[in-house]
Amino acid sequence: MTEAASETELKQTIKRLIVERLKLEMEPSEISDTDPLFGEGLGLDSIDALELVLGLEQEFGVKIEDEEVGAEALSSVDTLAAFVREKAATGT
Amino acid sequence: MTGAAGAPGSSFPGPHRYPFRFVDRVATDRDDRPLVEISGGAVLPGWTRAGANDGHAEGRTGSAPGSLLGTYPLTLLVEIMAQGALAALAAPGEDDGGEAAAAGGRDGGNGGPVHLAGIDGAVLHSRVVPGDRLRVETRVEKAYGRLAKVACRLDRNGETVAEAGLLLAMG
Repeated sequence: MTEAASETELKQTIKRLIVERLKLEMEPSEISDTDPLFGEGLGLDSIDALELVLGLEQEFGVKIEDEEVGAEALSSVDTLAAFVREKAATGT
Repeated sequence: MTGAAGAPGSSFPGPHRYPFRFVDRVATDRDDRPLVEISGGAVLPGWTRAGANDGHAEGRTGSAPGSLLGTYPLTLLVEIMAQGALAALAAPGEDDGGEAAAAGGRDGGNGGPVHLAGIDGAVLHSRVVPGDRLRVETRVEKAYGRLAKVACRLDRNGETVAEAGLLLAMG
């Protein structure tokens, strides 16, 4: 599998996780890679953030330790994918 | 439920008083530390007794098979579990994966108010009647920001009588 294909697959998995975990009434493909997940973007809130952080831990084994890290990692699907990749690379 | 996280020691940290305080005792080990089992998070048992005279089952007298009369309502059982969850967040401990501490309830606790913010998957498995001795088991699944997700189980002599996932908000 090419790196680009792997990247696409990772983002699709993240989008599916967001939709299923947060019980959103939309298709994963409707979520943009770059739109903000919180606020004006997808409109997620702090309860969704907790659920998402737990889902990421269970799906990818990566931990978001605090809100400071989370604020950056949970910005968009792109930043989430980068965070998961980085954590996987460093084994943390 | 509302209470305060961050009180050290094994005593119940909430402001609740009779007849709305349900947790009688937070179990401790030989060194007087809260009894915490580790299973992917903190598991802290607390004890409670469904009181015959506290009036919570008042007006629900009767014991017809299949009837809910004479039983504690699920809403109060959820409150019992929530008070157990509050004790779990406030208890000192070392090996809980950091979840309770992340919730601000352990070393970093500030004694701020804790509110029951959400209930997920509350299930009543068995009737609870006045006089039953119950044990609350709570496991802090994840704490993030001011929120903590806590899995709770209400046990009567090894039998699960109710369970729920609770969302607690600090501050």
